Amino acid sequence: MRLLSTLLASTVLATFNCSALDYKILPGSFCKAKDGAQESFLLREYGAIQNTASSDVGVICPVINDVTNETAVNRSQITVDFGPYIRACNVKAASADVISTNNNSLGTTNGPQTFVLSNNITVGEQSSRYYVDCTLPPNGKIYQYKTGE
Amino acid sequence: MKKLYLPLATLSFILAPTSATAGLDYKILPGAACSSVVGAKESSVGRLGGEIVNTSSSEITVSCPVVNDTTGETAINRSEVTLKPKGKAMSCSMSARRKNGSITSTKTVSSSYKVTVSLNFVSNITASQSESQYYMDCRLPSGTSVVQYKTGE
Repeated sequence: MRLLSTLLASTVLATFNCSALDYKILPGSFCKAKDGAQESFLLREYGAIQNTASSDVGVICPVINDVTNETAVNRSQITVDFGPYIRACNVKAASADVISTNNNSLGTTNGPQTFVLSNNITVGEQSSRYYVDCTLPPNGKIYQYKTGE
Repeated sequence: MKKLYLPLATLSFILAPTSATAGLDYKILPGAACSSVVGAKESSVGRLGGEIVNTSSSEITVSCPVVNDTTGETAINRSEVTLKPKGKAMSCSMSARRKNGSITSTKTVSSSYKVTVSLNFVSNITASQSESQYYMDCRLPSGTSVVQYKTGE
């Protein structure tokens, strides 16, 4: 009976673990220039994305919405190296023409550093699309980004 | 003894779905998800039928993102890529990299077949960290393409 209790407890614990957020980690190389003409300034080495221009380049990093009965990105973080610069990086939720508003400024860094972005980004729609919108300073690099629904 | 049957039957019913979810979590992405490593060469790629094709006369390298969807896992357990080498030497490398960029583990496959071919990478590509990122780089000679790639955690 003690064995049964232990097994049942393990099963219940496993069930609780399954109810945790569904996280995705994507490499920075998945990001694209907002302005297609500025793709020429981007370098995708070792899974990261880097701005090789002497001025800022805006990038959009797609987020995979894999829990379609959820209406928010509950947690997110991004690993970047912006050197001496401070620049904006935001998770956005959008549905049709409605786009969430939030504003995170990241930096400065000396090597890869992970920043937590705003929680519960939503426009209240299950069929929302999500993305990370970042301004890459000169030599700025995105290593990876992680989102949880 | 009879008293044990009911709890055991209930337990096996509860555990059945658990063992079913023990299979690998696979993702298949089209080659069109890849981008040129050197952004200036994006004009040298075409995305036709979900593939990515090198439309230029010189070799280019593309980077293909992998979705890490099982963050308690520390490896890509299985992976394969489908290529159209068209008789030219193509190669692809699947890599794992730690969040801070420090450790990269890379495994490579290559082919110069004239027909479409699916190649398996070795099992368990890992940087020994659950928050690793995974990506695949492919060298595309002129006219060759990456059709799709598949990863399982």
